[in-house]
Amino acid sequence: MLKPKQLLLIPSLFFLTNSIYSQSVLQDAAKDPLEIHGNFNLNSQYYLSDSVIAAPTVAEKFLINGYANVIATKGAFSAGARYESYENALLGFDPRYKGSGFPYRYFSFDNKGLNVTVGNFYEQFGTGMLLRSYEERDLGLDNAMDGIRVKYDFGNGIRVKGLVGRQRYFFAKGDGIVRAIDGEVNLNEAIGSWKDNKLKLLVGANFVSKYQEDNNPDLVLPENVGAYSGRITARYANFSLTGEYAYKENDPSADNRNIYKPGQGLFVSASYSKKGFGINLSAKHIDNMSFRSDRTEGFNNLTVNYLPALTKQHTYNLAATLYPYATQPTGEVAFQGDIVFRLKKKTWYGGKYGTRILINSSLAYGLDSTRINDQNTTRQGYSAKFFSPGSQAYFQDINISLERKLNKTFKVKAMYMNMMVNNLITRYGGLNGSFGGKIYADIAVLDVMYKIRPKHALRAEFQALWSDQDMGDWGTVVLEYTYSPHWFVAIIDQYNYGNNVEKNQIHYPYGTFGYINGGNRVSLGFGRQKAGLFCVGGVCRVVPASNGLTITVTSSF
Amino acid sequence: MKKYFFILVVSIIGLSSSCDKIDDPYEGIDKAIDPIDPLGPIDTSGAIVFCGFEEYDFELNDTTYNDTTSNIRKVLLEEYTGHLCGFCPPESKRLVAKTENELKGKAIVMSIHAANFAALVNSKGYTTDFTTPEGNDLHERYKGGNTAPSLMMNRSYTPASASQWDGKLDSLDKSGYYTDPVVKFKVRNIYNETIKTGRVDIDIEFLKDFLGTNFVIGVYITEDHIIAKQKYYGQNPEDVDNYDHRHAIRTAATPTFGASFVSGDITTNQKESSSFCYELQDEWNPDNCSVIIFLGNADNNQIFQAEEVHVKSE
Repeated sequence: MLKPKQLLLIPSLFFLTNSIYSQSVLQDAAKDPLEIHGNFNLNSQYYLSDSVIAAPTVAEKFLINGYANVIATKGAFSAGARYESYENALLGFDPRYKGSGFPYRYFSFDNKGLNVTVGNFYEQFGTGMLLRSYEERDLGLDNAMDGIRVKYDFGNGIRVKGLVGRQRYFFAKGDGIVRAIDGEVNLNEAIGSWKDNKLKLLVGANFVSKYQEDNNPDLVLPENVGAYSGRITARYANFSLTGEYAYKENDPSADNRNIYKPGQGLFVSASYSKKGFGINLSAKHIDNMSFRSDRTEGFNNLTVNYLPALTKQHTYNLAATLYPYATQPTGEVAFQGDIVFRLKKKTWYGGKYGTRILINSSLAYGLDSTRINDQNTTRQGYSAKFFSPGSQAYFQDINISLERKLNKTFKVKAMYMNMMVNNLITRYGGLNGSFGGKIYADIAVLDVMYKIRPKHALRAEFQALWSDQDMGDWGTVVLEYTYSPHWFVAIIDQYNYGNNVEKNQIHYPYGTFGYINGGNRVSLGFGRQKAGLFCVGGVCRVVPASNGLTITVTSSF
Repeated sequence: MKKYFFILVVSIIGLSSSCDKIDDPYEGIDKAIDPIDPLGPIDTSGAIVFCGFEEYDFELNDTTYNDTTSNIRKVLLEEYTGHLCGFCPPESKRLVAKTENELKGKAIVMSIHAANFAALVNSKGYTTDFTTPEGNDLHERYKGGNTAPSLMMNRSYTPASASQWDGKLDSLDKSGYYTDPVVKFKVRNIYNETIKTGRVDIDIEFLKDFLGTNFVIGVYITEDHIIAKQKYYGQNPEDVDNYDHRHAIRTAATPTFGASFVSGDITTNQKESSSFCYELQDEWNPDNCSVIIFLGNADNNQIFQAEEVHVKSE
């Protein structure tokens, strides 16, 4: 139930909408053509039982995730819908994705700087530290808003957004109501004398509030939880700086075990780039910043905000799926640095075509914090020093990659990674169970592309991971043959040859075959897939082991 | 334009008031939740035990955690001693040296101070009370305190006199005991300095079948390097003021002979788990404290496997 003070926003937004809407929009739209776009995606798998890799038994044998988006635009008007079908959801996705329906539909229009959306929408304020409504289908994450959003561009560098809605919760909506407003000023546009200033400045601020009824008999819970942030983006010549600070009022939840400590977060990123060279340094402090529209929820459900990841998202299989790092919303201090540069071509060190070198390092620590024994009084839980790394290292990754084109037919990429993941924090468990402690791993990759002749290319990937902990050593070989522009075939084998449990020294072979034609892509795959983690931007999903036939169809129009 | 700013301001004011600041989470509520669990055995029944912890304690500086996994069958050596036992110190030192060298990683020592040798004699400066209810129970059952120094191995027979220790330990080694574990222990210890409370999570995997066995788990806390007075024959003076007492039992988080664990027929690779809370007293040094865990037979008290984990990270 909305309280009177929350209701203030809704008439304000409607008033804003109606008062500036005019018949001329309809007249203009009538002249514009109707355009219909969309896409379709089908992911399905026929599961075979495989006790060797501890693949779960699938009663249905065949599972499917599918969706289609259709978006129609005519002038200033746009409407769209997405049909989704989970009959039943693929392994690793939340089984509450069950059945079929239209969980996403919207209507929007633009008129003289005003944009109104009713229905579902995605939105992000700044870095997303307080509000990011988005979908990442491979993670099974979709926290789309269902409500009303109004944006207004004053035309002089000042832009304002406001929204009210509930978030998607599988095929339903979450309990909590999210209300938010964001303002952004481009100072170079807003201040006439700054127009040609070399220093480009953009500042913004937002306020996000959620409402959820207090139905806890043991605690007095805040029904309205407010959070606010300020941000700045500055650019000067080849330099740029982005920063955002966010503060969240008391928000006891399942994530923080019902403590009332306020949360805060700071994200800072600075970069410099010129031709052939770039450097980026980033840092963040996150303290009790889990923010959901339902305080009882977990996993990736009903998250209001997104905490930027400060770790490299690896793409090579072993590094990407064995020991990735998930952002810890309860608290972490993290740093990341990237340097990319190119060795000059036609030199002895750069080779004929030049060489690209990328060095990346990231570190994440727990908070420098001390427990407060106030569980039965104020429930602040702990105190933490601002931007001070604690004694617990959560993750570290130092990696370097070199890319060089050797000649017209050969291209080589080599990469080395040295990683440490504290599994007491990430709590990943494979065939050997969950390793309790720090896992250290060295990973080496050699990626070779050979252009056999026009349209025909062969790519080979050799990966090795060495670790004295957890599941020990791994090796991976990938061979991929492409006949452009339509056909491809690939085989991959991952072998856990160094597992200290002999029966777990297992091969995971997998083959794929596919056809691409324009916007259509069909692929078939067969084989074993090991259990692991799949992460996008520091948000992860556990992928269980499986064996079977996969069929994927995608199309866009 | 003014109109839009007005609307904006109204919206901001509306939103800004949408925040409830709670100063007292228990205002009007009689009962506080989640009190710190008292010291003692906790029947987890598969539920998560918090011991006054929160999950974020993992991330706090004043919280340490320590893990150990063992594939070696370790023997639990319980040494009866006492600060008035003048013959005990050399035998105790010999035993500890043996476990730290040739039996390193294979044996765990606990010292039981009980019976007359552990009595307080304030007039002579023997004022440190090393006795515990658990030590008294063990003495009551096995009578080892009267014959200190004496030693029990896995509680499998009556305490042996010092002259028998080497022979019994050698026999154990020759029997292949250490290389024949019947269970695998995986132990995780979490300790919070501020509330001086710890939690030990025990995962046990049975490595052979058992028929109709009633298993118990014992969790003891020991403290090493307690400096206190000790009678020490052969020294001058015999009453040594700053004697280094090793591995003294301080308390137990379970009943003396263990808390019920699993019963009946057990199959190979069967996995069971349990968790226990413990609390250290202010005068104990957590840096020197250890958690001793053992799996025993409820019917004859004999111990199948033991493990030790330090309260704080080393």
